[in-house]
Amino acid sequence: MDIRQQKILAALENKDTSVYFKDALDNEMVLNMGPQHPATHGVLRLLIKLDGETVAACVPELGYLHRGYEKLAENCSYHEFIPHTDRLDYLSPLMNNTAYVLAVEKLLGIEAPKRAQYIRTIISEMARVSSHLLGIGALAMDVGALTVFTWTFREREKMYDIFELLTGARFTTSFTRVGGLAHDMTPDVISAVKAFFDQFPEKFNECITMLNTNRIFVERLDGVGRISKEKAIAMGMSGPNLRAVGVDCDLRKTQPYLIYNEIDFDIPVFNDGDCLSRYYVRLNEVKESVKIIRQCLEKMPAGPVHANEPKKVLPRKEQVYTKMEELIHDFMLINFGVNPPVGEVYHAVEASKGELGFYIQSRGEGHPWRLKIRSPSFMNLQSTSMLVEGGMISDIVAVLGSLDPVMGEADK
Amino acid sequence: MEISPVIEALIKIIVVIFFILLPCVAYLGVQLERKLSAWIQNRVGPNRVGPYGLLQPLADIPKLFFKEDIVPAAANKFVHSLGPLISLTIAFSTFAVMPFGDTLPIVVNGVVHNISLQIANVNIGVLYVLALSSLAVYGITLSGWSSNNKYSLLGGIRSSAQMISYELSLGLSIIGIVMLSNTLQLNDIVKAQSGYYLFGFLPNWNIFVQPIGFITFFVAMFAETNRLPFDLPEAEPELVAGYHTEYTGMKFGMFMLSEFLAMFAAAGMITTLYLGGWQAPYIEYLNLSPFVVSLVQVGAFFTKFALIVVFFMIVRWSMPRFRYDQLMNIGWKVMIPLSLLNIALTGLFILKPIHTWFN
Amino acid sequence: MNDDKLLAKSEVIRVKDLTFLQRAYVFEILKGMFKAARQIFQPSFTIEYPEVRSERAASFRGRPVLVEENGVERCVACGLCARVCPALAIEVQAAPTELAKERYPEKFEINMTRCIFCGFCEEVCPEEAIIMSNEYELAFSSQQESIFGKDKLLKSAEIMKPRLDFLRDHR
Repeated sequence: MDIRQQKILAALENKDTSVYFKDALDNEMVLNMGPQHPATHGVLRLLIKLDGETVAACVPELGYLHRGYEKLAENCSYHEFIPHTDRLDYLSPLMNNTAYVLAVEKLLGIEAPKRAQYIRTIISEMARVSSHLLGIGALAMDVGALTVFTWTFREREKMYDIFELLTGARFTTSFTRVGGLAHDMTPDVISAVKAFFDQFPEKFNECITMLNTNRIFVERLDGVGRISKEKAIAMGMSGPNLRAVGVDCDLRKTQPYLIYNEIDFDIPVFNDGDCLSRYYVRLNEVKESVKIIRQCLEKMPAGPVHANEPKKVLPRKEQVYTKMEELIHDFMLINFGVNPPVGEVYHAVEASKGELGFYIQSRGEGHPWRLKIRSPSFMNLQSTSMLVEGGMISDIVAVLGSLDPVMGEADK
Repeated sequence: MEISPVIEALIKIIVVIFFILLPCVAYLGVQLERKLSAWIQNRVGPNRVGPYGLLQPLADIPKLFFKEDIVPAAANKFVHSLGPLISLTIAFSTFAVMPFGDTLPIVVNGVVHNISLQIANVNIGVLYVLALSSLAVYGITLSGWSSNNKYSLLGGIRSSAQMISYELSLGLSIIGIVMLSNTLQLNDIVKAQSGYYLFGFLPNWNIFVQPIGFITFFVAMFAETNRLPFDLPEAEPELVAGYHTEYTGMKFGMFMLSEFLAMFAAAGMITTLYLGGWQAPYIEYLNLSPFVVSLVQVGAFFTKFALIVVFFMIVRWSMPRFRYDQLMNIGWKVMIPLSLLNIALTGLFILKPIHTWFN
Repeated sequence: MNDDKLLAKSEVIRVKDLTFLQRAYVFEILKGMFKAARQIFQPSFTIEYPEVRSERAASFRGRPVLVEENGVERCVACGLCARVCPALAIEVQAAPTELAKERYPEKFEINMTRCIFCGFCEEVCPEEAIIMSNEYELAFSSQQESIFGKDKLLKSAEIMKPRLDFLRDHR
């Protein structure tokens, strides 16, 4: 072993990696839930102090899916980082793509054409629908209704077919580009989206009527995992979880980005802050998203989907093949990257899990000097221990299901 | 030619186990459960082994046998192996008193032998079934404790609490039937359900005579067999696999087998006690020979039995699961008062039968 | 049911809001069973994969291939694809050639276990030489096997026509 390895080993040994409860055990039992556990939505580890079936204390431990994306970004050009955003919240990759390029565009001071913005809105909302479908399905599965999960998955599968037709990949879409999109939405994709959302409300209704008035389901969620308005704000909750405690805060309304100020939609807000409210916020958001997508499809203008900024946006392919100038731009943009002005920006969008923000600090180079991801799942998970304490083991899974965290995003 | 009762019983045991129970577990249990869940969830289900996947159960069993049998290092090895054995033995034993039919008249050398289609016509059949179902809790609790796994332990504790609470309402609901038919013998209970009830066409089955008792018994049976919505001992999202988390290979297979057998026993008991058992209504109008009548009655039993099993399965795939405290609330605050009410009503009707009320 | 009704905001139904019949469990269980049982008669949604394969559209991003025209690859070994690759999966070594393009890739390797199928190589290629095919069934029995050289990567332009047409029309 060389000296460097020895140093690393010593540092690891010294590092305090154990998790403590504040007080000693009396007649309680410590249960380790996760990182491999059917209900923890990925690799979340929960250390639970149990008094019988009641949860006396809970310490969440994160970081099992840490891949160092923030550090990785510092060595990637702005363009190269787009595929990495797919892998943050892997349930709505299109939303992350959009959020990231919006932040970069803000840094560069450019804006995508109108049609590109409409398409970005449509794909973001579709990603929200697919993410919430999984959220609702997984919540139902956590409280025991397995069939609803497969029904929501069936609908997601149809959406994935559309994503594949549109972007070329079902899951890791990498669809948006700085200053526009990879390519335009073709008419057959538009008709596929229309056809999907024509049949979707009825199928969705089928799923939720299995749950809504089912007393077993309602009893499992009603009043479970309650959090007050003040605490939720203090813990940095955002998105559907925050709107379930009665805070009418949605970035689509408060700081409209893309074309949300041209669209007519409502923000569902519920007041009780328990699992059932969180479920209903998601349920209603799916319905609102369907309305948004329908309006966007109606209003979508024709035109290009790439901003006319030769020095910042990748040139069109036929121009690369035929024109010298575009060929040079192609080489320059890839080899050295877009050189944004020195400065810093923060841009947040209302992602399916909450406020997804990208903070970019630029030193005028082709790659960011620092890129910070404000991931909603990480913030939402902070209140886990507060929510589950005093409940039962069965409530833990209900709370986790209703918080709907994605560990890819929480651990980055 | 007289057959010794021991040999007769042995033949019946072999027939019941190898020609009724195991095919039932394989096809009505494993195969139907998987196919049904697949159809409910818009999937195809097992279809690789044999035509339409019909040989899938035959492929599953060798797979379970050849899997490594892992016993956790800190487990109590003896009890760990004992758990699945207890469960399986008890699950099989329930069928000893189940009447699959009345008697099968077989003519040998011109002499009619009436073979009873029941392994043992025990005169305390009902008590025997109740005793076995209370023993079943040992298999689960012991395996939960001996695995030295906290999830298993929690599953075992939940299971014992659940089974004990629901045993009460189970027993109390049967009392109504025992009061009506004045016997503890299961075959006699079935015989008491012959004839017709209201208006002369509704069969005199206990489901129509005792609807409250039927509901409480049915729910208690769900809880006894640990099926959803009462599958707390093995609640997958909470306790991984509950009491059988640490079991692999055929030991796990034994748990699975006993679980299916417990479900069949429950379905059989519901059929026997409430759905008229082997009684096939309106058969006396057809003028069939006694042999054919007997076969039709066996068919009637298995039809009712299969319908109950399918019911069990569809409920399993459409319901969420209860929480522990809710389960206890229902058990103690709803089920037991209801079954007590059932006993009181039954007593009232026995003292003053319904046709005497208005004169 | 009409769409407006289905998309109307649904209010929270708590235990106290449930009607007596809904509280009595039994009817809701029967309703749920009925809904579940109705699905039994629906056609299955899944496809039986190895026998039945769904069509991949031209926009699908399968494994990258090198376009071959008149027996020679189009690639001029500029190395732009290797530069842009976020997963660092591509290795190109250039060498001079007698042909009009002057340079050709002496060695062109894509490590398929690294490739993330993002399509960036295709997007930046100035010669339309590397494009995404519609092949997605990639399984290897060794690390060595997963490194695709020119022998596995080259595909003639005629085979790849749907994708090339898609790129012309939409990129």
